[in-house]
Amino acid sequence: MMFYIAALSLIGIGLYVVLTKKNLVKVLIGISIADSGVNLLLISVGYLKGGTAPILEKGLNKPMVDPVPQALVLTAIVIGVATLALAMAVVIDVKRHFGTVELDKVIKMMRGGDGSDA
Amino acid sequence: MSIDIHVYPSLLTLVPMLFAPLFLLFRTKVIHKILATLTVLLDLLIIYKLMLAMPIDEYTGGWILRGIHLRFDNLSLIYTLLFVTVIGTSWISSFKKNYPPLFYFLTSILLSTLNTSAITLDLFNIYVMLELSSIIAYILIAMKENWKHLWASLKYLMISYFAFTMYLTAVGLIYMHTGTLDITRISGEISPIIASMLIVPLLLKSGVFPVSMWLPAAHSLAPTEVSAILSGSFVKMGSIVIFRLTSTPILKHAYIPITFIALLSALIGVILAYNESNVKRILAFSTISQMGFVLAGGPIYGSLHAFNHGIFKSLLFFTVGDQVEETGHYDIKALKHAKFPMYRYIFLLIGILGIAGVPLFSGFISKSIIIHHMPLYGKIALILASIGTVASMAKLASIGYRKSILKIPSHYLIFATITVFVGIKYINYALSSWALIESFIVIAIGLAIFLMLHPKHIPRILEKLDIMVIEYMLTLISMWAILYIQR
Amino acid sequence: MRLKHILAWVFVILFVGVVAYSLQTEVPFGHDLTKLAKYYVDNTAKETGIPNFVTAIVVSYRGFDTLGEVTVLLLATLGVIGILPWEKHEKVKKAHPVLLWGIRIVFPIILLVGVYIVIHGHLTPGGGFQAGAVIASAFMLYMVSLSTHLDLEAFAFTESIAGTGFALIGVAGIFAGGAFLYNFLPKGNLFDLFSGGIIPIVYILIGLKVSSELTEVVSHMMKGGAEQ
Repeated sequence: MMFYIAALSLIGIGLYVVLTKKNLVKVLIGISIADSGVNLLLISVGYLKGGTAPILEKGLNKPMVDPVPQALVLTAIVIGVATLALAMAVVIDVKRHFGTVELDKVIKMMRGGDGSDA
Repeated sequence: MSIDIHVYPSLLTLVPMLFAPLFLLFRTKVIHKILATLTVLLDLLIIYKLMLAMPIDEYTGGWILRGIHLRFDNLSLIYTLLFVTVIGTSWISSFKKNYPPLFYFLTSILLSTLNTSAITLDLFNIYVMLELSSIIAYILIAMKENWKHLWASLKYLMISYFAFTMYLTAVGLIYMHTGTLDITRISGEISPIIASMLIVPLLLKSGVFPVSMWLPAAHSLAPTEVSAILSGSFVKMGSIVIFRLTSTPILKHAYIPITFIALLSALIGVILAYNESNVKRILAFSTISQMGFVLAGGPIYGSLHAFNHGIFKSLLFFTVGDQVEETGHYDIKALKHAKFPMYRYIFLLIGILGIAGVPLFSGFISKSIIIHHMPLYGKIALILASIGTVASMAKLASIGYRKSILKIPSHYLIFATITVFVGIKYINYALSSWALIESFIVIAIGLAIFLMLHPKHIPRILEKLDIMVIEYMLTLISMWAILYIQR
Repeated sequence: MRLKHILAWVFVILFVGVVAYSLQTEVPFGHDLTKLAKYYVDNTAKETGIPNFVTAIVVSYRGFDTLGEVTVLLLATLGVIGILPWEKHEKVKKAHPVLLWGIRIVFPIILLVGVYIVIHGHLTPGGGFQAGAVIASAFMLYMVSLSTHLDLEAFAFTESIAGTGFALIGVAGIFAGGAFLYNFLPKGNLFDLFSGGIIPIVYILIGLKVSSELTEVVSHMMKGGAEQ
């Protein structure tokens, strides 16, 4: 039960950050936190009361938790990291161009440039 | 259902993906051309053999009922044909210009992803493929190292990352509730919030209004071939997944809110398109509008329109994009000074006639069929949207032409031929006096609007990153509300 | 600005609340295994020959997804390297001797743990992706603490070889058994190190690939971000 609460809290925090923060790096971190929350949620829904890891051992007599969400989350974590890395790279490049990662300042600079999109 | 030992659907994924690294290994243009031709031919061959044995079910790795479920059926056929045509023709066009080997590497993998999305029936596989295609799109858009491109790419990246985190949650919860990841075996009921978290990210990929304000910047700033690939094939991925999902009993009722959003998108897309002065942004907003038509049409008729739209939108992006690249101008007023060379203008007109729904061209058929099958409010919305399409396209046509030597570029010709061919061959599907009259009225009113109504400059506030997040949330809430009420 | 924050809080709490409610009603904590999960638990050891069911699912039953995932990581790495420019900044911080000795002792231990995790990926928890992250963290330790980057050709080489190897094994599976990543090597005895057919080999290749890619990404960011 605690796991659900923890996972949902992470998702909530991540959501809050994305909705309110204007700093690109903070927004990315917020999305990443929400991602971790989602991964935790997926694994915890697979839990079985009194279960153990889905790995066979000699002389095992406890029931096993669901291996499917664990496999899915493995993939999801990697994809999340890859997307985060790519996004961070672009943000680094934005910093190089504009000198700032604040959303409002970047938009102002772009408007100043040639009035094209925000 | 049969499993053909020699050709099976996962080859559609594997073949382009295996060819992709070869483009990086051999760096001469001649070899690239050979590789590209081989990829396209093999892909077409596989599609042909699959078509003969249609519908085919496959479980990857041979793990029946416990691997990933793939299926090649009518829907897959239409989409895979579209994908290979758009990418193949874009390759032809790109060989005339100087594209780095990375472009071919990325677009081969993209073709593989597109094919997979057309055949997959597994919720998590959809997530992997959509994310993979998104990463390819980010890199393709940002390839020019220009800060505008980077910013457009970043906006898409962030909103997509955010949205698909929600999709992932929904997939996990659906798995635990229904015990399967296979779309064809989901049963029972899922709560409205989870259904919305599943569908709204797909709407974001599909390029429909409230959630797709990343599209105008991305499609307009990209180089010509990339714009064509994005508008012609990339946005179609979301639509096929939505069609698959709404065919299941568990999500059938989600069709109603999706139709509302689609109609809204069709209308607002053309309104925003008409008020633009950047030619590529006009085309991008028109994509938003046309994807509304596609989703409103449903699996059978909408997929036809997706095919037609992919073809004539690519043609439009080619002609307009080439003109923009040659003159360096995006703005209609500036382009009016330069004007299109005659040969290009003819192909532009064919594209415009296609998208405007003029009889004898492909758009007429799919639009008429879709409008015919909508309830009254849908008919009105789509007719209004068609009028808007005519008006916006008239803006493009008004750029005018100048005398030039007659050239028939092969990449234009392929798309133009398909547009005309489909338009003429299937005309009896749409031929009713009502459809003809309606299309002429639409064209007349559209032209009248073009001549009389002055476009206004609309501030681009809807495309700010924080506003996009709010748009996403609002769409999520509305979808949830409608699904909740339906219960 | 205050109003926006309050609205955001309200929205977040409502959203999380609705999701939590549907969670409780549909997927209560600690409920029974699904049919699919029961199938995996009962049959994986027989069908694939390895005791780690999660590895079996990732590499064998859902190998298709793993193909996509490996490609995602590859493209992200290429994207990062392509977007950030190559700047030759060699600012190795003058490192404190304690730090240097600490790294010298810890580095090989981390590597050893990572290699153990990947080689035993089919027997104990762990595998290619997990071990890849661990091995990469050893290199990252070196880079971050000394504020430098590692520009070894070896990483790019390892990554390409590993990736190609993965693809070739998959294709070999097509010829041997009619499906991508078909398990065509003998399954061996359960709990043996050399068992499970191609699964340990694939996972080792993935481990090499992931560790080199993650190292390259961080190394490139250390290089491209330095602009002082």
